[in-house]
Amino acid sequence: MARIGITDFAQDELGDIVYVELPHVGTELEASDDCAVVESVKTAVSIKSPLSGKVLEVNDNLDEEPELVNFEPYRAGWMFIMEMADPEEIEDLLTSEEYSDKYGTGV
Amino acid sequence: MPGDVVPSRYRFIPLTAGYASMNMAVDEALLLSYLNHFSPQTIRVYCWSRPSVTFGYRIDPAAVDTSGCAETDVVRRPTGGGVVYHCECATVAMAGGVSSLEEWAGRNGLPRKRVNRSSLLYRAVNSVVGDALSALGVKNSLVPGSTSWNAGIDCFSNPCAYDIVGAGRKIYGAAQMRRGGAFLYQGNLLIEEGFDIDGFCELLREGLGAALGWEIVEGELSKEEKEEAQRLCRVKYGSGDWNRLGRSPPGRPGRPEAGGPR
Repeated sequence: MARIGITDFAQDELGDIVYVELPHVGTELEASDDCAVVESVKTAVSIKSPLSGKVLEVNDNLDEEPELVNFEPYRAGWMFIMEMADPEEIEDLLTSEEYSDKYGTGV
Repeated sequence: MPGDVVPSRYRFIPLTAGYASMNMAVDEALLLSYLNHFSPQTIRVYCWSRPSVTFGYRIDPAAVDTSGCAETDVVRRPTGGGVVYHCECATVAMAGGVSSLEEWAGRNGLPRKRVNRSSLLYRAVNSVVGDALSALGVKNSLVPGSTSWNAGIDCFSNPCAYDIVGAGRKIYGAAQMRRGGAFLYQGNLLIEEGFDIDGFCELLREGLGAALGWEIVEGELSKEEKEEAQRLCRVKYGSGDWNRLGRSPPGRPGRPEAGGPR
């Protein structure tokens, strides 16, 4: 299983998040599918799924407290949990070090 | 950094007028077509064929006050923000890549990676809009970027960061949609009778080119773009699902489809 969210760098770039729309439980996603939308500074931002799989659980707390994504992107601000269809897809994602090198910030 | 950035090329579509659902459909068609590599980056200015109300992506339509708007089109925008009442107004729309802001960012001493920040597009474009209005004799000022972004549900009731105010009220505000490294920007300008809209378009075109370092050439919508806009108008912006529930038709880009209980 994989817990999906956005990075601290991404939340900082977005600014104050006022709305999070998550996929429905049971949705089958392909990697790079649009899976969620967040809104901040009057901007609706489409989020792509990093992996393929089935959505098992979503973080309903974000309905009432979307700002959790800003405050705790790696903890309380997680978005959804998915059952991975192909765990090898993780190899295509950036590691923490690669992300830091690319964006100049920690993960 | 700024010296080695290749100028971005934008197409400028002359002033048009359309109904709300088609206005939204054309704007999204421009973004999708750009993302699919068969359209250039585009700027356009349009008017509204009849009074309309648009509301932002996340807004519950039940919260939209349409009392006294019996003959008004009510449509959900693809962009964020609040409710906008379009009567005497013009809209500036742009679809392009965030990388096209790099030259502007470099000139303003901003690291290239910061161009992903949505607020920078407001700052860059709204400044040009304000300058164009000044050139036409409309006194105005840009709301400081340190101001809150929370304008409330009625977009024009409370100015927020980088909005334009004049004569004691908000006269220009904008919203965006971001998708895959590209943006769709929609800005709404309140105008009064006798406003020189053609002069505004020309000043906007010149100003964007000069301020953002873009090469801007005049053009028209292609046949494929018109067809995509007509499709989006039919299945999305003219549909109850999108406007009431915020759901796109199955298999199409947009909000995630309902797949079961949340």
